[in-house]
Amino acid sequence: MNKASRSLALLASGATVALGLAVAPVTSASASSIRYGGVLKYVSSWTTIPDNFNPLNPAGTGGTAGGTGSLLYEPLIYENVYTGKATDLLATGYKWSNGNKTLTLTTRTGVKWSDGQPFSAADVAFTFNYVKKYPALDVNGFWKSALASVTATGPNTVVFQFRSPQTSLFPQIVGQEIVPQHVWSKVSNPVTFANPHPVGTGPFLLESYSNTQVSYVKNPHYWMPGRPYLAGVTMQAVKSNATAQLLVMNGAASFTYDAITDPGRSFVAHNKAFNHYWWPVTNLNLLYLNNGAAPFNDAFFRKALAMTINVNAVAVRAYFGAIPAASGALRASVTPGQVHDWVPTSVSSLGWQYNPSGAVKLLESHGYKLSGGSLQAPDGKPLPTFNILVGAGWSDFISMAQTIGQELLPLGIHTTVEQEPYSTYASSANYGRYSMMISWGNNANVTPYYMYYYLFHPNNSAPIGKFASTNWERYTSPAVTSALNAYARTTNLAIQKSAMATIEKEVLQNVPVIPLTGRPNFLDYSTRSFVGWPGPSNPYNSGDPGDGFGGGGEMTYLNVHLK
Amino acid sequence: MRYLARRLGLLLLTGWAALTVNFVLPRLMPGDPIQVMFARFQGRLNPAAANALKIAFGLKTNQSIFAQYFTYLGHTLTGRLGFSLTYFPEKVTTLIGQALPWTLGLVGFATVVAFIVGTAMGALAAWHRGSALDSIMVPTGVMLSAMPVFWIGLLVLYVFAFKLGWFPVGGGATGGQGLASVSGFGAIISHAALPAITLTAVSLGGYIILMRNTTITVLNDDFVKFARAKGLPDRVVASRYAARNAILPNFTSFALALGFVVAGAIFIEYVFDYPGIAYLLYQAVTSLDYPLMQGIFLVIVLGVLIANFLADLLYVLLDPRIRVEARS
Repeated sequence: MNKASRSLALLASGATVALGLAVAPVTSASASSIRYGGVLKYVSSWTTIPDNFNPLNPAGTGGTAGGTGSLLYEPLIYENVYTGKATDLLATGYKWSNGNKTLTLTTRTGVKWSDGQPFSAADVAFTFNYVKKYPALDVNGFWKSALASVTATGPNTVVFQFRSPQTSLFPQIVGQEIVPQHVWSKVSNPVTFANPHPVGTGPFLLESYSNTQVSYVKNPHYWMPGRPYLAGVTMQAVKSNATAQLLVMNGAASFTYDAITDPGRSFVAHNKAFNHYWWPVTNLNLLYLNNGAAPFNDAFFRKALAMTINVNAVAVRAYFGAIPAASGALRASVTPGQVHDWVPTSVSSLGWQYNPSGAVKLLESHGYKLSGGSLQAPDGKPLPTFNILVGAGWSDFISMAQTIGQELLPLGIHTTVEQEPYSTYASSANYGRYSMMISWGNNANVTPYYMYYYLFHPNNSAPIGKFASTNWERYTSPAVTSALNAYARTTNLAIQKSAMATIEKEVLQNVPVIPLTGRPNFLDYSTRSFVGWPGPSNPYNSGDPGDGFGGGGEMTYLNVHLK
Repeated sequence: MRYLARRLGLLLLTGWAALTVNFVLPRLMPGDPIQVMFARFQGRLNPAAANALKIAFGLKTNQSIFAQYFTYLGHTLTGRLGFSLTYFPEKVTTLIGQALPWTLGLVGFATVVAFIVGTAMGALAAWHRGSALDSIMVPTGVMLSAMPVFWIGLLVLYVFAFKLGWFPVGGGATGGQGLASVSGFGAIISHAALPAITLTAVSLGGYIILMRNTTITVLNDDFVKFARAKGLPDRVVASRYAARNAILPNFTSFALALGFVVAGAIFIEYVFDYPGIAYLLYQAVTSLDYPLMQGIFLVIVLGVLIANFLADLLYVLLDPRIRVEARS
């Protein structure tokens, strides 16, 4: 699974509607001490870099040239999924009005496209209407949502009109990369257009391309004062994560994106002065329980399972201590960065605690009986052996499933680990053909809303046997649905917070899924030649891959500089 | 002529069958490519993208399955193999075009060398059977052909590339991947050396043993005895009489191997990070890139069919019995 996780760019970046605090990109050193120049090398197991510099490309598999297009094209606002903070890029401000049916964005002045033409609000309006004209480019589903029109009402003002309030769409809107109208209005087939001579507003310009290496040079007319520090950026594609890791360790490259097994021993220990990793948690690994079928349709049963599973042991077995367990407030299916702002302390202590003997008592109080090492249902029949579904060969998920299997034994529940390839794994989830499954949260974002929406909203649900896009566990509840809808309509932070607290309570009490461990970005870097990397003390991005777009990758290239 | 027409007809029939299987197989696989793509993105792809992807990949179609089939046949025959899902919007033909020369060069070269050297060594071993040469060559051949190719590959890689550093560790070439410059050509040769040696070593054994055994059978035939009785020199008896008749089975297996040259050698290309078609196929299969898989299977099937067809034609030249049958 590492192969896939390393290369995937963040399609939709995160944002909080109301927490849209604009902060300038921060650096650890003062501007005077920074050395300019140097070519930073990013290495990734892409194998082949697609010859494609089209930022609107729908096949998010890295979109532009292995994702490095974020050096050329910029979104309106970069939102950091890890911290919830925003950095203004092509926009400098926004305002909701008309009962949250109108969004007015102010675009940055003094920005030039790399061909010298001025950037204006018309380019923003053009990009959105272009995506409307070609539905294959509408990867965020803007025009299938409540968005009604986008117009530039002045040189620096663009107005979004909605049919009904849908403030929750904000992160996707400001994450849209903007293309120049004077170039793209002449493109006849933008879906397959490879855009060989990219014209963007970003900090770098395309220098050369081959299918294993793509190089960029500094854009001398970039709008952000004093940036970028680097003279250039090179991305090299190699065939395996191991090769990428070796290149970083021997100094041939400065960073890669990979879930190294036991990174403390196999990476950092080789050179403690230079080799570092930062894996900030931006999503969760969850144990999905099929709420649509017995015995998982009983909340007390799901809760008993949660009480029996020691998530700390699961995390250590799967990630050697490099990734934290989903304990404490994370049990409510939120990420660590969200806890402070979104989980009230009165809520975070609710729900279950690890307590295997308490779990047996809980089940016995509902008529279950533990006899001869097997759990008997209230009707006296022993429970069948349950499958824990994982992707074939995904070693971290397999370790988790094995650990869970051992921990459920004292409860009299017998499991087997079932490995399925991507295709069947995906369809088993979509059609509800599993008992327990380990998987990720979908489209996790700056506030808990986004993971909740995809986990629990009826829009994404269907009965077992029918296609459910992301409500794989088949749990919905009227209270959760109305809280989700309330959040999506408002810009009032207090209302949004109370809506999230409602869902957190429901989730902690009903246990539709069991959060197991964090799910981070995997930034592995070397400080041999370059410093200024993101980290816990300076989280200007969320440890995004160098081929991540939506602004995350760009932030690294704007902040890293020569030692 | 009838022989030729029959062979040609068979080629067309099997070609059509292969195309049809190629159409049906991916459609029998569970899951749809969009959902697979979401699984590959592991929660990072906005689920709202499903609609856009369906349109972009041409999966949103109202055509009936038969209409789709005929569209597919038409597109395939005109060389339109569609877009790779992994490398969208890269065309399948472009990707295959980039990978195929590497494989043809490496595996083609190794197969031809193994056939020529193996056949010669087998004939030699048979002629001098019982000699020291024979008793070294045959067990070595058996051993080499019995060893797993990836294991030899790893061993060779470890010793010659990693420990001794005589050859690069992997890849097709460093820097500019072209034949345009002398240094570029040198890089290609040095990168291809280890995988070529491994491949040759592994396939050599089969040719040696097959050639030796058939030659020994042929050597006991009356016409060989007669040739010797006539007082022909050993060289002539060995090459013109014995080897020429013994080569037919070896030739068959060579033709089969030649067909699989376009399929590449998946273990070799994987172990040596070689940018060939087998590696591409491996990537297509692991990422369920159906259009790319279909395109590669098509090339492989056509390669095998055409190689067999050419082998059939060459038999006419090699084997007088077929020549007689072909004339009738």
